[in-house]
Amino acid sequence: MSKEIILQGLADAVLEMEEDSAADYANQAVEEGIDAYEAIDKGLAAGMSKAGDLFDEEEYFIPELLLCADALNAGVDILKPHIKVDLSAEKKTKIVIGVIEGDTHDIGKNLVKLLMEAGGFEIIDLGRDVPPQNFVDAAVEEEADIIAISTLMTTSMLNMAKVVDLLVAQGVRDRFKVILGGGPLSQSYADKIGADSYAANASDALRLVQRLTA
Amino acid sequence: MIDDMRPRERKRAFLEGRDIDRLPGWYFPENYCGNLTGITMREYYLDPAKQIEAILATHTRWELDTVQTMFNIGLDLGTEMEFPENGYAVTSKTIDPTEKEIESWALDDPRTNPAPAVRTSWYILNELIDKLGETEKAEISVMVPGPFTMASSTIGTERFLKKLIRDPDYVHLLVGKLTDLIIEGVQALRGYDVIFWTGDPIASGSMIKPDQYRTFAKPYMTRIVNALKDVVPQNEHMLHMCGNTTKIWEDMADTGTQMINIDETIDFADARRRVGDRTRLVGHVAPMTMLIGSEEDVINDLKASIKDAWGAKRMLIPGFGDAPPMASPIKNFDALFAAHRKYAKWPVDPTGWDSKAPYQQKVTER
Repeated sequence: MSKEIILQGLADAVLEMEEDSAADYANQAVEEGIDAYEAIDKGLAAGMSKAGDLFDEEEYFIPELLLCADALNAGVDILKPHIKVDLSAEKKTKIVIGVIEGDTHDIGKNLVKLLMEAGGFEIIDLGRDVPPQNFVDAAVEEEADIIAISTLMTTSMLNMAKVVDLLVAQGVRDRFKVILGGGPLSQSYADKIGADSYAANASDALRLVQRLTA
Repeated sequence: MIDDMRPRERKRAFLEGRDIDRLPGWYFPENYCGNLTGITMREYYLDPAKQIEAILATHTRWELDTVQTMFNIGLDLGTEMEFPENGYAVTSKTIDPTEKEIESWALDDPRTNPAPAVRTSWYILNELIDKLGETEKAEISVMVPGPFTMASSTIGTERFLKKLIRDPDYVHLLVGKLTDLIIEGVQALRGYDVIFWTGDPIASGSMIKPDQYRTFAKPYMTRIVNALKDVVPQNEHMLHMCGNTTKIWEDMADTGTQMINIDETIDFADARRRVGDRTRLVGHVAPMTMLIGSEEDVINDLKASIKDAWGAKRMLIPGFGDAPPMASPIKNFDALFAAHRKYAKWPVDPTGWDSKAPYQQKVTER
């Protein structure tokens, strides 16, 4: 099987939400000696990126994206151990992401993460219910470019402001762009708490980080 | 009493096209009222005496038209809830039932069910009816769960949403069974002078396709709305949906609900044109305005809502688009409720109101 067919197969498997097919093509890629990083990047991630486009066009919604993510992960699990580690040549924009303390809803954050990874960004995922200080510590330690904070709940929104306050207090606010996402938020809230920007949904978030790092 | 009419009297006159003193309001700030008595949200949800005290304090301060409580049908499926200090309750343990297990689920009558959560729910409801409802000081609104969202929190949102595509028969069985049980549970409220509302946030147009809403959520919500009309025929139902509902307003109206409560991100003028002949709109002062806006912003938010909805005059019941955050300043609530009595005074005439609502960020197509 040619490299092109395998890469296309990986992309299609993700786009068509076919976990088994993604695994089959990933195994094929390993057997054929295709560079694992390239198989992820030009195969699986390309498919996820296309899924993001369909989300953008309101063709796909959350259920479809979740199944695309399953297919993506099935392929990544097989390919990851075969990645030849020399990624240092290409420094990717690094994004620290997490759901703020007080909230455990992480579907939105996970989808943003997937689309950003597919878009070529390096993601440090802090998980959910993350204390404000942890965002700051991780961003400093990882020398991140962007801090992305999510919440679905109005009750935890205020903790987002604490992240910005801590960055200011520690004198490192200028080092990072801070972006927000989640149901109850708005650009006006981002402005109010001194964050850089806000995104209304996962594909918006990808466009936003592309713009911020252009 | 601040107003000339009692809430039930006003709502009925409003719905029947008779004279009213002012528009009804739907503002009960459930997660906020603990602030008035200095309790946490966890205490509010878990201590019935404290919850009642907070609700009554809210009523004393603002004389809102509606107070609200939840109705626990007492379905114990083995899921577990967690109550954060100052956050909404979340499901901390979901289950993964087989089809056979789902078919075997049964309900104890909520009136005799000894489970603490059910007894608490009954106690609060009866106390509120005793202290406010019977004297018609306030409408008692009861939240009845939406079956689609209940199904999602029972088996976990991700698992549930994936099954919409992977296993539609399972989804129909699960949502259908929960619908049966909710309908069975609400029979206990027959004869109660309460009004009902249902929230179904996971069925939002921000989460699923309009087709998926029509297939997996709408038929079951329709059954719930019909059952509630049967239980308390004289009272009306409100359907609350978060997020971008633009593509499903007609479907929401098809469920037979008398009122739809939609986010402040939604264009009220558009909603009025599309479904205004079939249902009334409730909303949509923005939670964000309550949190970070000035008193003037809050008043402008209210005026903008009224103005947008005003093409058909008995269309709007002003209220919150969604729950205002606990940290919102109390002066914004004072300003809003005073403004409601001023600007929603009958006959309302929003012509010439120059009202900008800076924090009402409208939804856009992706």
